[in-house]
Amino acid sequence: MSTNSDTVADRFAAAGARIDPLTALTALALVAALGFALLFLQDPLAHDALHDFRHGAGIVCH
Amino acid sequence: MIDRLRSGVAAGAIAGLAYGLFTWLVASPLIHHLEHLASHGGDHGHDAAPAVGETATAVVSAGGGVLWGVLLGAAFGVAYHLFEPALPGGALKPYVLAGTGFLTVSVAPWTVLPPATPGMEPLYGTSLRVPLYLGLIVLGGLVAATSVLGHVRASRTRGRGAGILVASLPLAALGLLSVVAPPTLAGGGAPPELSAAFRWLVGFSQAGLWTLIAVAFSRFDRPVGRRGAGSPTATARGAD
Repeated sequence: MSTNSDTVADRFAAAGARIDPLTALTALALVAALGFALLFLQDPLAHDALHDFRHGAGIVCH
Repeated sequence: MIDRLRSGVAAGAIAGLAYGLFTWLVASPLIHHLEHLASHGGDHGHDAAPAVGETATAVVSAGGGVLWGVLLGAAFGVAYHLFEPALPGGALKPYVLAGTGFLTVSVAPWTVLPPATPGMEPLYGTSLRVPLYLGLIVLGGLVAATSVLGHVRASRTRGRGAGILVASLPLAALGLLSVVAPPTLAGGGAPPELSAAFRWLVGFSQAGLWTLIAVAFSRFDRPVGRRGAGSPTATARGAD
């Protein structure tokens, strides 16, 4: 954890230097894959089962 | 960065557990009751029978509440690490970031698409509402960033009062949007007071979720920031 960086640009630069592209790509692919799986979970069973949560959190859809 | 992400996920898990419990004990029973009331006009059956039972819905929704907390917490941790230098407030930085998160993810979409009280019907299809929702999240992020940056800049050059004034301008614009925006929900047998109360409940529960994330995060973040001896890893108690 670099403690000397004091601007937002520095933080982004540090993150870019610390995380190598392959790791970033892997993380991105994982997130994309999970998101894709979640889209499939939009089938009636999962969607209806989360009904209370969506109402409770005030998220779109019905 | 990874430390911050870890703190964020731990904080999100704790806040999510509380929120899941809230969903289970408060939101679910209330929603079922309201829906029962709303569908009472049409004899006794629900007009659209859900694919799963009410118990399963309650359990999965509570679990969804936990995951929601984890997701927000993870995003919170990364955003905190990246934007920490620009945040005002010293020790209160996590709370400022939680406020911007609440504004971005919840309040901004609600200005046009308010939380639906059970029994209400949306006027537009999901093909319009989902892009609108996502667009409003982007707008909320811009409003929050403008507010915070404006506050920092104005209070540096012109003092605290000017800073607060400048910070509130984008928020007022967002409030104006909610007044101007056309209604997106229709009907519902529920009286307006009940509907308003339900919306406040939703609003307060989301605000509470963000507050809990900020509280837990600032607790976990202290040892990381000091880079001191082995940080007490927060194992979220699985007691639900």
